[in-house]
Amino acid sequence: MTWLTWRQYRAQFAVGTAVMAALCLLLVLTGLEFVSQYHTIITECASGAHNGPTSVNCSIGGGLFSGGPTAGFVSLILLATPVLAGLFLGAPMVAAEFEAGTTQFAWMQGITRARWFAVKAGWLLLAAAAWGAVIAALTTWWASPTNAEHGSEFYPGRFDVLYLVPVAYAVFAMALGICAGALIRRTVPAMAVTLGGFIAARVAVTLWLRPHYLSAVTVTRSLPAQPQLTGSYWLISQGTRNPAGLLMVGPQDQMAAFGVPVSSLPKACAGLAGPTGGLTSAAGGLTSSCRAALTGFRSFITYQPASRFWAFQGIETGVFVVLAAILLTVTAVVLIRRDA
Amino acid sequence: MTTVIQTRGLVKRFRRVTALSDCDVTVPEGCICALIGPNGAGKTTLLRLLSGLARPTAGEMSVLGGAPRQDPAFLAEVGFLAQEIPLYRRFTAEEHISIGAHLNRRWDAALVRDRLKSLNIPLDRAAGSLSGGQRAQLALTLTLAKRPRLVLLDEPVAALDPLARRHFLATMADAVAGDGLTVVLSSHLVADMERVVDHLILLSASHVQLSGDIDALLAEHRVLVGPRRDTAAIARTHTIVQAVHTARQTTLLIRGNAPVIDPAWESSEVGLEEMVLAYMGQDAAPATSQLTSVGEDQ
Repeated sequence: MTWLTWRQYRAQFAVGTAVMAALCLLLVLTGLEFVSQYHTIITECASGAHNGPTSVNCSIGGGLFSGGPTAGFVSLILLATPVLAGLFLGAPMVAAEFEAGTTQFAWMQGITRARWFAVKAGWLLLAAAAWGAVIAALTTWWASPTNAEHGSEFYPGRFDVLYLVPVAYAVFAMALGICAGALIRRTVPAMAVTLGGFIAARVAVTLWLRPHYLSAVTVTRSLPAQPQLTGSYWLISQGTRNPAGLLMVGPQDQMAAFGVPVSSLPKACAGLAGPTGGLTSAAGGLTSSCRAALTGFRSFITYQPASRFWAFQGIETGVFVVLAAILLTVTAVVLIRRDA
Repeated sequence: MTTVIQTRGLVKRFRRVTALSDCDVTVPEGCICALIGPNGAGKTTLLRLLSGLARPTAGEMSVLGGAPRQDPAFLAEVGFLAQEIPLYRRFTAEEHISIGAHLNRRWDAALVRDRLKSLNIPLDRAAGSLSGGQRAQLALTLTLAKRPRLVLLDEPVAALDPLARRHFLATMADAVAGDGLTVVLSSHLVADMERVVDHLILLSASHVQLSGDIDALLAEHRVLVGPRRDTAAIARTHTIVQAVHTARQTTLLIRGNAPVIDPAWESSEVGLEEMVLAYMGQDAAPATSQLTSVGEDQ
């Protein structure tokens, strides 16, 4: 069965290796450029000679080095790569055999369908994991200059391409492709379902599940004091609540200091609203009556501390591995029970 | 004689369509059994149930002493060749032989190579580039290379020209003669098969119309020709399979061994094809049935 799997997929293996090589080349070239740019900036900042063509902000965390549009573009490619193996190898695994009728050949040889499925799916899942792992390892190296400066590893879009999770995504995409192919039995629709399902699962987990893996930390201060966080963290939300506990919201240009809209400012603080109604510096010059009126307002920041990064990587990996296991179980049951 | 296949009350329904209903058949060991029926009669469904590729909705079956199942021991004994001749298009014959060698405990690679050599089928060309006849021969040979005890072939000669048909059936007959193999092969034409088969299952409109040893079946059927008249007297002693009336003449196909006493009837033996068509005609509309029979007389 292993021999058959290899014979069936050796062409795809060659194509996959070529795509991987191209991707590696892209990462290495842009990555080396990042490293040199980063070192130039660091050196310039250290010597105080940061008078390059672009004005460089030397404060850490202030956009010192972000990699620019190149990094954004490559990151988009990296978000998409884990699904490729599932699309082009997973979806056709069963579907293409049904289309060609060869299940009736393979399943009448001297091995059971269960064994046929286990060996074939096993190798493909291994290939997907390897695919995800190579990309993740290279990406982690590639992103190190921007991470070192930004401390932004935890943010969606970054978290998703680093360390462990790309491996889990690739394995999940493969399982999804195999399952879709086995249920639909036609390659092209199965590929469409795989792509749609992968995007849906990733978006849903990122938006609705990931922020809740561990309950977020909230820091609250009474105005005019405001919570201050140092180092890196993943910001979930921040804002100000009025004494009644209502979240202060309003258009950006109607905001006075402390995130309180002009219309909601206490009367004693009318002076805080700038001449244009925009933001006014909240520095020292507060009247004592305004200070007293503001004490009921509370400013908060909800965030996930950077120390939880690895816990989150582990949990997210677990979530997608479990989803993959469920899909594979469904597939095995369907293949064994349904008519060929 | 040992029974290889026995089914009782076998039913297969797809969502709304009943593909096979109340199917009782028995196939003894070592025979070549033709599964005959018009398109859509349920032949493919029956073969797929027997091979274990599909499961019945209801009923029981015993194939080689047990229900068809996904189990290496059962799979090793049953060969199945689907109608669409499924082969991996990009694999050569040699690679198909390797697949078989990897997936089967018992595998006669030499048999495949010898047979393909004698048929002038190249071993090193992709299956997709072979002719229809060559593909069918390759697929049949691969089916036989497992050395199964039962071979199920679904319309194996449908895509072949007359010469290739003869070759194909000869290949199969050879194999059976060798080692007590049992073969069930389906077709919508009986003419192709007449020379090689010794057992018949006639399926029509998802029902078994006739099943048994061909010589025995022919012996208990007769054609009666006589002046046009009422057939009630005959119907009391025999089953009338088909009655065709022209203005002056009545032609009957009857089943039953009781003697026909009335001298007005002229009795004669029936041919296999004639008998099969009469049974198939039973389900068709009367007009069609008459047309079929008139065509038969020419």
